[in-house]
Amino acid sequence: MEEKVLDMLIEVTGNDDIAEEKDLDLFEAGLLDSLGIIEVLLKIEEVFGLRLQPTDLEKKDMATVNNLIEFLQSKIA
Amino acid sequence: MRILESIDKFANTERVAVRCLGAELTYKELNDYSDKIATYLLEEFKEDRTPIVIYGNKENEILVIMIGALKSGRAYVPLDISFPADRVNQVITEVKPKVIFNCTENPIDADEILQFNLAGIKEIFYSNHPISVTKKDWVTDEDNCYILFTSGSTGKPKGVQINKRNLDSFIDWFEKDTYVDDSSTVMLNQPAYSFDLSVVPLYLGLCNGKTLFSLAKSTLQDLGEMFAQLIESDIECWVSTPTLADICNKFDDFNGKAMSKISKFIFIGEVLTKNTAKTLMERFPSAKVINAYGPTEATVAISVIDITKEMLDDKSPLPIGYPIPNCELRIEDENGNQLKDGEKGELTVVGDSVSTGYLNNEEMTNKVFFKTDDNKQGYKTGDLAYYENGVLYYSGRKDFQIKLNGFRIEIEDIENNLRKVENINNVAVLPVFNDENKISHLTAFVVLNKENDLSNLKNSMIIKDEVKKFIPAYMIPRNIKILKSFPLNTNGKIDRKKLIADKLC
Repeated sequence: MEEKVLDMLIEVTGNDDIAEEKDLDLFEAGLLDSLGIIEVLLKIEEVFGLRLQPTDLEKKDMATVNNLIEFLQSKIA
Repeated sequence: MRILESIDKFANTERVAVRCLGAELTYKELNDYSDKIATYLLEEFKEDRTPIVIYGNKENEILVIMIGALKSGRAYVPLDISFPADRVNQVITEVKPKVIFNCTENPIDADEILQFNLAGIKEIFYSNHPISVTKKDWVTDEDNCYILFTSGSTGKPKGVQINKRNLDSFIDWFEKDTYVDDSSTVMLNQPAYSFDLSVVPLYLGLCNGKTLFSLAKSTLQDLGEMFAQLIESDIECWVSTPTLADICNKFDDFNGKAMSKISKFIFIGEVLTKNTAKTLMERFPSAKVINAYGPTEATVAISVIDITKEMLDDKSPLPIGYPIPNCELRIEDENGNQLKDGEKGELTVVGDSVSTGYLNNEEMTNKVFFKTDDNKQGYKTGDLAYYENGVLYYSGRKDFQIKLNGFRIEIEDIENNLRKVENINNVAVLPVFNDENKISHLTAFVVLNKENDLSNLKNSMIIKDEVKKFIPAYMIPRNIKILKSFPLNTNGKIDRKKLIADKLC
């Protein structure tokens, strides 16, 4: 799960340094914006088969690699 | 002028002209307040018809100031809040306005120019000063109506001048081909006023007594809030870049049941993919999906077409449309020879829709604009296209101009502004494509002047923070990679192909 989430975010942000900085706020770092949110949602659907509405999660749920891992674990478990 | 006549006509009704974040402005208010603005401009500046500058986002007051400018025979220059101070100042230096209407909280550093903030603007609206403007003062055929500043490869934006003749040419044709009538319905007003897609709701909408439903930048940043507003909006005519529709397609409620008033989608500004069109046609079975194409330099759109189910199944990409009848759209090879059906070349447009050129920029104007032997205005779009049975198909760019989420950007504009960042020695910006062959984001490769021990991420955050003083956020590359040196090709130039091939992005 961790790896899949990381791969997903690396693909969307195009940045692999985030593997070392899993608590970095991706919005503050300019790696995600509201369009990025949509790209991540599409990836979640593709990778985990989980279809989410943009309103199903808060911005903070995907603000960092670790937050998104935690959020998806709670949804998929 | 059609739009001014129309506002005057609908001022006798109860119709609402624009709605944003709960605030409304009726046609009567728009008419009365714009008379006040026009009167002020005429009495203050008399014969001096220098364009005025408006800095803001989607405030209802902006519409009043634009209309006021037109009534006083002046052009307006709309600058969106996404323009940082440095870019605003570049435009001001170019336009040399006598007055700036600043609807934002950001101060503009131009002490020698008269400035109004929102409070000052409203003071003019509500003043008891008698109206002196008459129809004789309105803009006429060759007068500029607006000047839009678009990304320029030198790193300095270019001001596209659009006059009344250009607008008349566009409006009369486009409203027929997009089935816009004067019934009392709502039109989406999403694109920033600094982009010419906004001319569709502004001019087609106000010429037909529509209510514009504006989405503010703050709303667009909160997707849940944005969608909640859209659901409540009663929109009948949707105008946007395909990107906004793609975002909305993530919401299950984006369909003909929840948004039953929608009768058509008009898309301009970037490639409409089959995927987007297909999803919309499935979700909104009774709505039309209309694709249009055009450069800012030829007034919003010069071709348009209804997308059909057959086109989705066809092996070609979606067409960009049938050409506007009062212009000539030719496909030319490098020597200016007209090409045959199916042959790919540069799209060139000649006729009434074509701008007179870039403001105070003869060099760039002469590069892409030209006069024909019978004295018609022409423009080389730089877009590659071909005809098939009278219908145009788009197939890319000749140069480094890109469309990212509907924004028109010159890659060199980003690079030249990144070079202003103190510790940057050289830079190459490359687009990264997704599965649908659409640009998903940009990556900048950077070589520093002075290397440091900071992580790549830390360095890229410092660079982003500095470059945001020079360019709008949508132009800042999402990913920045620090390299020790650039791979060079045999000409000694940065080898962009190698950067891509090495999958460095």
